[in-house]
Amino acid sequence: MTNPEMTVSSPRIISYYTGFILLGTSALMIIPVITAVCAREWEPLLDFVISMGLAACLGFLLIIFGRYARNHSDRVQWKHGFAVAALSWIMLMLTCSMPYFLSGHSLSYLDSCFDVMSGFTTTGLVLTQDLDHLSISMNMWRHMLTFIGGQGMVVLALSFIVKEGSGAYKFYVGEGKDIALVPNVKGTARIIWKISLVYLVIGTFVFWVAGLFIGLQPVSAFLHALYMFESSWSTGGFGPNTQNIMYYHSLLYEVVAMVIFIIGSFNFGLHYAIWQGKRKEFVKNIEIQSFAVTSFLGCVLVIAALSKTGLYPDAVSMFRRVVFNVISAHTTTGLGSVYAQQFAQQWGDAGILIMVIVMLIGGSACSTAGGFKGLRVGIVFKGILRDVRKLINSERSMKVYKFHYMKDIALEDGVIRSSALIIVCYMVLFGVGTLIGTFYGYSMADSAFEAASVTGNVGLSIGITNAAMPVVMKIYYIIAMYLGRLEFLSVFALIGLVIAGVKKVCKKYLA
Amino acid sequence: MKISKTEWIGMLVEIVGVLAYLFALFVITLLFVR
Repeated sequence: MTNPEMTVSSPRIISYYTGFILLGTSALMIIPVITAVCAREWEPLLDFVISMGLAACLGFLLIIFGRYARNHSDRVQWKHGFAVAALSWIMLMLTCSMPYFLSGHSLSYLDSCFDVMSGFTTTGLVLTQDLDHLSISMNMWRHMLTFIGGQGMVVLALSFIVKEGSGAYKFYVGEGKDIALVPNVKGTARIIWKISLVYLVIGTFVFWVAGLFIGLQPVSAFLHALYMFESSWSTGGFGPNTQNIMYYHSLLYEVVAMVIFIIGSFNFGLHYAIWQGKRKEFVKNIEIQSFAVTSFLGCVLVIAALSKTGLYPDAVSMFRRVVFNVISAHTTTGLGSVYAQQFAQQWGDAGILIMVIVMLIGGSACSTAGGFKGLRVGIVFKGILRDVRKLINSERSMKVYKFHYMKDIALEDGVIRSSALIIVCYMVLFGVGTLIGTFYGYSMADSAFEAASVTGNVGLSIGITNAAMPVVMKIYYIIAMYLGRLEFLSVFALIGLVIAGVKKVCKKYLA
Repeated sequence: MKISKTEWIGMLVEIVGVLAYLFALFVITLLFVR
């Protein structure tokens, strides 16, 4: 008889759950398959069927390898949850990029992987060629990936297969969504999807009406509305055309997008609190206060810098070009209402620097947004204020400092330290990205802009990201998007497990 | 999927709040570019 202690090892647990996530991904390809059939796109249909088969085979192989873990979900530890989240995103990148590669719109498999990672992490940078002639099914797939990536693919898949109370929360936290809206994970996942789906219906309808208003045909208006909603809500930044939001030439379309991507960058916990009637949370929440202050300052500073140049002579064009892009960068959306080269040639160093700062700050924690998050900025800022007050006040003062995040939370050293550590990790990732850019001959400003864009999962480009850029930069940008999205801890856990496994094997064979 | 009245109002609060913020930014833009 097999001893479960021996058979239910970490690799088997990780393999078992990762396999299910791959199966889930394979099942999701049904949507572009149906789209391809409806649009009579036979070649893309074949691409998706092949990719679906490959993802399903790989998923089954992983499940078979880890089958002993099936009845031992109580053995799932934090390290497994983190490792499953980190490994799943790599496996998803490898399998979801198959349709891209088979479509012939990518120059290499690496470019396909780049686009999928960009979609899943809601970044929005694109290496796909001839975007304007992409099939409907492929556009559906691209925007679906960014929509699902925003809410959390692992959360979606595991909320169906992991038994409640048996480690589900560990997978859930592993994907960077560490907030429990209700005591159980399934309930929390359902609330996240309910909020997103309600906004999907309303947002798509509003975009559709706006599309009809600017002269699109009803079916085309619907598809554009769906794509743009998915892209805006997930703070993704993809568009069905190379011109992105500029394709529509519409203030109405831009305002609708802004409203959706600002709301999309809010914490799901905040949505839930407001939907439950706690409306004061909207002004009391530390993340909203932090976002309001930093985005306001960002907009005012760029407007002040550019108003001297006369580049945008009237308030409407200034609003559409400056406010739109600053808010898009701050919420880490990446929809752009100016061309990449315009940032480089017209916005000047001050404009670029402010954009870099807001891209790094990003949106809210436990949202679809990236960056090191307004919550952490708020905590560190309040931590500095606390220390200054402690210096000024009497040494015997025992005042407890707090911040408001759904409820009043004590501002302890541990909270400040963990926030500061994550910010440091982001800054290192950004610094290395900038260094690599300058190493390959790009200017400091351009390198910093692009590095901030990938680190913060933004998607705005200053012109560096294209299929001709060095392979090393493509690989680094993939890693930066991945680390930025999963907020480091999951990836560190996976690396730790791999190193521990290698050490074990070495000891076994070298002893 | 049922949405209660409180939830609809909550959603409206979010949308109106964001629109108000955008309007404030537009007014600021107007002040700079006259």
